[in-house]
Amino acid sequence: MKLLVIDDSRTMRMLIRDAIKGFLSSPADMSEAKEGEEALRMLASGPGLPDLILADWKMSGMDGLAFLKKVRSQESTKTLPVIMISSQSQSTDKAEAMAAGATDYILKPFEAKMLQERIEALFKKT
Amino acid sequence: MPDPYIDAFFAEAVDTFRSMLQVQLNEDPAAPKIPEDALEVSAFVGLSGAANGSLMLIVTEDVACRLYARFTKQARTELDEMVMDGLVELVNIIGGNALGRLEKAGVERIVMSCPDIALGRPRENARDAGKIVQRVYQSELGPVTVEVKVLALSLVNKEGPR
Repeated sequence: MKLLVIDDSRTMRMLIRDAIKGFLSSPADMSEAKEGEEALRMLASGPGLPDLILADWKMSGMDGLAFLKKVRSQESTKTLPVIMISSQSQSTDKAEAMAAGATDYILKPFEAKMLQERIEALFKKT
Repeated sequence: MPDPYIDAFFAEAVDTFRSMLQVQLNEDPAAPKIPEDALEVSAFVGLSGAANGSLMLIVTEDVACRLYARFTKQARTELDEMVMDGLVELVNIIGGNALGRLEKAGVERIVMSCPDIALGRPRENARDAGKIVQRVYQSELGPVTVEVKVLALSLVNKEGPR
């Protein structure tokens, strides 16, 4: 499985990589971006699209919500699964993310096992 | 912001330390202040919307390294970019989850800024306005100070708690 992780925190990217390493055939299967614009450039330049995107919300540069809206507006990426991983815990936050097209919404801090289960559940559904 | 609402930030800090880092924070008003010659590290987020202000997590360099090690299970002995990054993420998580508590208590939406970090004692310059509540906790990793600053509070949801 190829994953793109977008988070401006290197610590979080590292923790996510550790949590999802079981889904990766090789370390190169997980790409990383620090914010939305960088991620969009990566999606545009390929090669290929990831199977799943994990995106933080609050980031300096393009935030996760703006990134998500952009992804959903583009023909080539509009059906890509995007899980938001955020510390934004107000119900309006989750509602806003889901309305913008998030496939799932995971609150930080997360347990590695829970993240793995949510990813597995997502791919069982599809 | 009335004290019960300010308490949400402290309660969330204690819960996050316990659940995420397995560290018990024990409030200790008599805890010694951070020595003048120690490097103070302050990770903070700004708040706007129903309340304007900030949430700050203040530790020494040594405690920051220990927190990072507990957070990531990777030892760190110097205050480098990764340690600061981890501390910033920690305050982001505490702040974000505290806002969920406030929402349940009926407070209107509060928006959090991107978190940031400061070295030294920059907040001394910003004590001219608003209410500042600071609590010092003792922990196995060393003292941790949590500070909530409220410049203004608008409305609590008229519909009451959700």
